Amino acid sequence: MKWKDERPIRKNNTVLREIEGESLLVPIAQFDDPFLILYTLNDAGRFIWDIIGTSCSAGEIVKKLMEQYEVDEKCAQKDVEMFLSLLHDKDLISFNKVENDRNM
Amino acid sequence: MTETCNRYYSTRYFLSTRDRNKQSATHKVGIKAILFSLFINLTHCCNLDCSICLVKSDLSSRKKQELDTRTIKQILDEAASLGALNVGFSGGEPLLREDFEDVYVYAIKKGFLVSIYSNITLLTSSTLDLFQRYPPDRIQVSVYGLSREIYEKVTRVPGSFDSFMNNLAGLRERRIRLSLQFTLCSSNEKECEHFIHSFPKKDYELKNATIYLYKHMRSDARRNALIEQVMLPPAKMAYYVFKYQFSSRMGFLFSPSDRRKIRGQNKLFWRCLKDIETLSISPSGECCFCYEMPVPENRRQYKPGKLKEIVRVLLEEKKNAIMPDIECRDCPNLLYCEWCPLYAYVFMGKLAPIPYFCEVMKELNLLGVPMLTEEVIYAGKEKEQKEKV
Repeated sequence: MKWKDERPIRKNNTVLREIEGESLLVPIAQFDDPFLILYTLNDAGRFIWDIIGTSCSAGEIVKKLMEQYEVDEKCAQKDVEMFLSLLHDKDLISFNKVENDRNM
Repeated sequence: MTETCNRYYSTRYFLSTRDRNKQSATHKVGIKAILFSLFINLTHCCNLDCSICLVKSDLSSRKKQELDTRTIKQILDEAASLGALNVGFSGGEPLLREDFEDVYVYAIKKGFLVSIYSNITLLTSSTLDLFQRYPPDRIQVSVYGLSREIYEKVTRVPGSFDSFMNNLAGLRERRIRLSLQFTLCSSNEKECEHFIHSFPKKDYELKNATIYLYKHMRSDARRNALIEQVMLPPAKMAYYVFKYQFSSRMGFLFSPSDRRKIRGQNKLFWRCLKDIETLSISPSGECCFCYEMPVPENRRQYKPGKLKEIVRVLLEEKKNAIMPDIECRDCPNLLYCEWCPLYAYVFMGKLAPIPYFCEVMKELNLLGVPMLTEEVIYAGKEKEQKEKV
């Protein structure tokens, strides 16, 4: 799995708002797309977003997603990879090697 | 499968983007929060002295009448907890506030989509850089003219045109989303059409024109006289309204089904459609559901911790308020006319018809805008139904 031993880190360019059960990522920095207003997260997206804030590796996120949503490993891996890739493309997260952090 | 599992599989889009190609930002997310957006007038004062505007340029006593930084932040906290997503900072000129940057950054970090309504002449390089770092959702820029001569004839402050142009360039360099708003009056009329047709605009910018000089300060005879001098004659106003559909209500002209939908609202006291979910707060903390000056019947003074209660009471009152028995109530032009309780108070000091608006509507009728009789409202309904089938 891509990024299995890497730790996704949120960038400080959005603020999470929860309004009437909806999770919104409101940009507070300039993004490439001038038409962008905000992002919305669904339940699973919000679940992963919260885990990203706890210094887990991508592999650990997969395990937690499997526990929470009772999905098989293959499916969870694929979805986490897809979601992290999307967040990375949108410049919402970066990655750190887990080993590097532990050595520090 | 558990419910969570089903939900997980049924919505595979973990992240969705809301952008400006789809409807307005605000009617967007489909959230039904208690309070949708907030409009804070940070100050009554302005650095310019426009002949078309009621706002005071006397800065000496303003601080006593304005909310302090702490209170504004508290209002933002409360509004956020009620679910408000948008906040607009206006005035007067909001950049006059020494704490503007502090309040602005606070709102941004709170997760509001922030709009600013400004003449931009007071922007400094530090504010421009701040906007680049923390971009506002949009800055609505007042445009008074496209040449130094005309611009400063309106603003009556030498040097203001250069500041305006330099800062406009600075904002565009930083790719800040702008909404350019031309304020039409007799002094700058010649430049309005040029603005509409050929003034350059980026694809993510908006441009529009404000037509009515409704900011008519009843208590200031000198200011009133100035405003009256530069108001367009009714026939000309009707021409611009008709040609460019500048009026927010003119859309109804061209859509019979919209006319029918809104018809029942004729009798309502408040019939403004665009600001129904926006709570406006004056510089001194008076709250009302109107984006400009509060109308006496419908305002409450802000008290810390009480915003939710104020919103509840105001919404209830607004829902039930019936338009008083004045001539406008049964006017067949009411749907197109810009008359509203706010304008009535601003122009006339009471709930009454505004003769200038009546004249404009008569001219519009002469141009072919139909009065809204029953026949007109239901005209074309059969044809529409056939087309649907």
